[in-house]
Amino acid sequence: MDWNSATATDIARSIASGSLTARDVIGETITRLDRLEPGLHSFLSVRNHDDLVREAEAIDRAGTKAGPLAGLPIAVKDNICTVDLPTSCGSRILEGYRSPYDATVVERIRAAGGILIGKANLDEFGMGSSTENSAFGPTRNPWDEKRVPGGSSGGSAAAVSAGQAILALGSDTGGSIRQPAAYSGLVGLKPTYGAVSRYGLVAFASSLDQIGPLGRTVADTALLYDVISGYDPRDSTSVPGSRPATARSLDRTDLKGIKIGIPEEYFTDGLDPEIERAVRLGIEALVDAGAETVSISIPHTRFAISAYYLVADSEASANLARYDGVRYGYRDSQADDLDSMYCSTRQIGFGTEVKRRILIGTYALSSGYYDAWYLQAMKVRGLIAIDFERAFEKCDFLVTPTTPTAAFLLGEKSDDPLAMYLSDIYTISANLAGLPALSVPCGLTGNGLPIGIQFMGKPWNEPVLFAAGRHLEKRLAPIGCPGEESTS
Amino acid sequence: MSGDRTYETVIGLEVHAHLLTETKIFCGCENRFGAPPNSLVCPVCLGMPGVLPVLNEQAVELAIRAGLAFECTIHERSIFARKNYFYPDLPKGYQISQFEEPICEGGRVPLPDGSEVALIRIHLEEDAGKSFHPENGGDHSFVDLNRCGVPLIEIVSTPTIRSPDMAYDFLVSLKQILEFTGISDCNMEEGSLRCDANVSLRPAGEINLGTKTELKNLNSFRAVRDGLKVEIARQEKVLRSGGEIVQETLLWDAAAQKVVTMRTKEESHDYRYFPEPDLPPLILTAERLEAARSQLPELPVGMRIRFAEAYGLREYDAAVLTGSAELARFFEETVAHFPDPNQAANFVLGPFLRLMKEKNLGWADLPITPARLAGLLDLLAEGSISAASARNVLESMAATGRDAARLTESLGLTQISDDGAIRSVVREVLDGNAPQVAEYLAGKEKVFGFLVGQVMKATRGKGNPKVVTPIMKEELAGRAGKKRG
Amino acid sequence: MLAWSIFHGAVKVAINSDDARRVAALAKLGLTDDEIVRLTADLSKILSSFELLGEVDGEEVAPRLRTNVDHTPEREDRPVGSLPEGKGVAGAPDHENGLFRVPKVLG
Repeated sequence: MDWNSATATDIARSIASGSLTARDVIGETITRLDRLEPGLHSFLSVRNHDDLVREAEAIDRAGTKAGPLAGLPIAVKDNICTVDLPTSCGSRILEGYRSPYDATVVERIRAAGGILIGKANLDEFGMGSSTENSAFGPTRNPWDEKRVPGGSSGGSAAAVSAGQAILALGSDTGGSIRQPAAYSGLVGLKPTYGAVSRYGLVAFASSLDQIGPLGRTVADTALLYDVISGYDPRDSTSVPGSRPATARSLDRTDLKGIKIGIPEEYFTDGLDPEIERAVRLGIEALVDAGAETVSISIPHTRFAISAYYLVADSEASANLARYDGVRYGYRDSQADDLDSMYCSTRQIGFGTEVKRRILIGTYALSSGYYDAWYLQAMKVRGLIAIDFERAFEKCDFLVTPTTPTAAFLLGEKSDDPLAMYLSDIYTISANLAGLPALSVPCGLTGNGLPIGIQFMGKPWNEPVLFAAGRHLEKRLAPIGCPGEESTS
Repeated sequence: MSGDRTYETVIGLEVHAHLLTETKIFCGCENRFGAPPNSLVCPVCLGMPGVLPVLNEQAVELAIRAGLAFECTIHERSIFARKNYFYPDLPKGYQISQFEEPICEGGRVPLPDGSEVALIRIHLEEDAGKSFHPENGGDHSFVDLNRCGVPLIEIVSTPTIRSPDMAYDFLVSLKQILEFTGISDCNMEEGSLRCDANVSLRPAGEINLGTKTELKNLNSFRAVRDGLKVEIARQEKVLRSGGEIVQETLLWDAAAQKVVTMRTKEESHDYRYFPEPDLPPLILTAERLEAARSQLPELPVGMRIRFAEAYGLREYDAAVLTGSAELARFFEETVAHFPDPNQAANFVLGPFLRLMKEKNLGWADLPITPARLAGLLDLLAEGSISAASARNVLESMAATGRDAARLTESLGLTQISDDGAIRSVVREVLDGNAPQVAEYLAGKEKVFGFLVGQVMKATRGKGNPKVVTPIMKEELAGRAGKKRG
Repeated sequence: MLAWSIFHGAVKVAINSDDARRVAALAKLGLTDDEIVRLTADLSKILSSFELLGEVDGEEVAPRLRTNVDHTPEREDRPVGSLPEGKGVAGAPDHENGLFRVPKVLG
């Protein structure tokens, strides 16, 4: 098996057929992880090797009963709670914090035979688009270590891209799975809001956050999605009822009868021509598979960034209030009265971007400003959701670029928060409207950097997005793996 | 100028009542008072990273019941909101409450004089934990989060309460209703009923409200009445001397009988309420409201009328008996075993309640059950025991939980009502007290009591006075005849 | 002082360091003087770019509160247990006799 390009689906099949053991897989993964980690810094913590080997051996003994993820090493973003590794959220304020419980998605992965290998680096509390906002140092892009892997799920993306894990969980509040998937040549899904339980996901913006999978192929991503999705009575925003099975949709022979919408607002100034060319080629490939295109409009798109940041930061300002040095995490023990303990604990514990967001959110909710900022943003959010509902009367899903450019250089945007915010411009609307959105590799730039194409669907239409992604994979030349010469 | 004015008092009350649920409002920890500190806590109520709230069905039921009991408009749709502030007993840094779109609006609390106080709203929320600032704690405070997440309703009155006594009556009536309907146990010592008051004065006839102060730390109904009296007097003095009321939050110091400033308007919180994104709207179906309506327990006013009519009780007795849910229930169960409601009422309101108070007994594990009390009333009614002995038996019953017949026997209190036995004792007493008999026969009737007392002494209190008196008269009359003859 | 006016439906905002301090106090964020200067500039720039929202006529629009769940689920009122005694405070920076310990509230 070629470890550079091995997919979760292949490995799972080989383990099931006995041609490969989980012990072999974990051994190879640990070797790669250790070899590449000094250059990449994908992980904030990794499980003890002996524990990993023991767990793999137990899976080999269990044989076919071990579940759909049997023996697959999986990286979990460090804002998802686990009992056996710390959950720091990339923040000093939670450095070394141990959760007393596993997130629902982690329980599901363990029950399906998946092996939690380590906790992946991220922008502090998910706030960022480059993983440079981690308090514990940035992650680098395996395709070019001078560049960012995207964010906030940059560690998850780098780990899978480099083969330090076979699959990964990320979280997506405004593009935090799809943008790093695009930058790292992976498939990444932001599920329909309520499809995957948020219980155990450390909240950034509760009404926008969703956990989702990253994988090397559409089939890999669907495999993990099918395990983690489902109703959870511990999350009141989790939607009851069974999910449409995504695995079967992958076998769809063509896209006849499918209408894909091309929103004009997503192909304007600011879009790198190289990206646009690649995405147009991707659209042609879908048309070759039988799909029809229609031009549509999402008129309120230009307001999306403002509405998104106001809503996200307002919710974040409340969600991050619990980090006060009282019950867990960091406390500045020098402070001798309560108020100064609060202020200096949070001053030392939070990074600059988190402080910026808390200040914006606090401001937007404060007396006298609520109506003009938070409430107005929520209204615009409603208008954007309506734009999508109207668009879906004319088409089955929308196709757009995932990002306006390919991966940027470390440090390139770190002093300009607004420029950083603009790298989310195509991804945030799916979060505002609660829609599923999938990023799929769609060629490379002249510099050999991956490009992502995004499909945004109606609620619960993940199967359609996966089917389209699968047809794209079949029709486009593979982008290969980081470190290899480009195959195109 | 302002010195001659008369002022009208304007009071609005905010009452927080713990709901009688098994578990907390958003997690499965027990809702229980008195456990060791931080032993009824879980990741959810500790506000640990990644946790989410899930609403307790019974808390909603009890809030609906409150809406029905106070005749509110119960909204088919209500939403939760985050109220943001930092305090060590508030783990998430926000309290999940309701702000816009509460579960109940409007409604009323009836007062004893037949009038009522209109309500603004009733909403659901979670309680915070408890902070302690011990005298000997040095530079530290301590936090127990057992109470954090206990379900509450906040009941907000309109500012139409006109005096501290009216506020007191409002609270008594409110508490009575909450207890009767099983919504809250209203235990003020345990903090399950808490009250804050907004108070202002305005010149009589003025329509606009004056500047108000908020009075907190009112830990008993008496504290509400006393605190309001003191604060009203303070405000009146300020206004009469031409001063202005400062909008502020005050704490009532019951020991010193004065108010102290807690925070001024400038320091007041900006709570930054916004809709709770972790909880979709609470939607109540018409069927659910109908079911709650049909199961609504009897309210105090209705019960008082029923007691008076069905049991033929005096208005006053019916009112006292329905003053507390436990007492009303105890009485009803007693008369289920004993046929004379008035006699039962007399005994319950008399010796029984006196004993409860003297011995500081609670309802929870009271050894005197209604059936046992009915047994005692039976003995009393058939004359097997004197009223004085009945009180002794009651006391022993409270201590031992044994039934009346056995206690009467073991205490040797069975009354002697046998004519023959009594007559022979009476004769012995008359024989042994010849001088007094002579005095009586000479017209000094006061001596009669002394002679009866001697009989009671000789029977060690067991002689039934109803039997002793006629026999004594008969015997004395006999001796008068003899003397003359 | 916050310059704040509404004209042609657009919101104009400029934030000064006092505003930043007020908001930081609400959020219990300690900030150095340098941070105040830098964050005031950042906030002004970011919020100015969000002024654009004022162009949308929100008069007739309902804010989007709904998620993909139309009503909140309710849990049965049955105890499911708590953390073992002592575990709740075990991870706290400071605790004593089962209680969280914090510096005293001033005033």
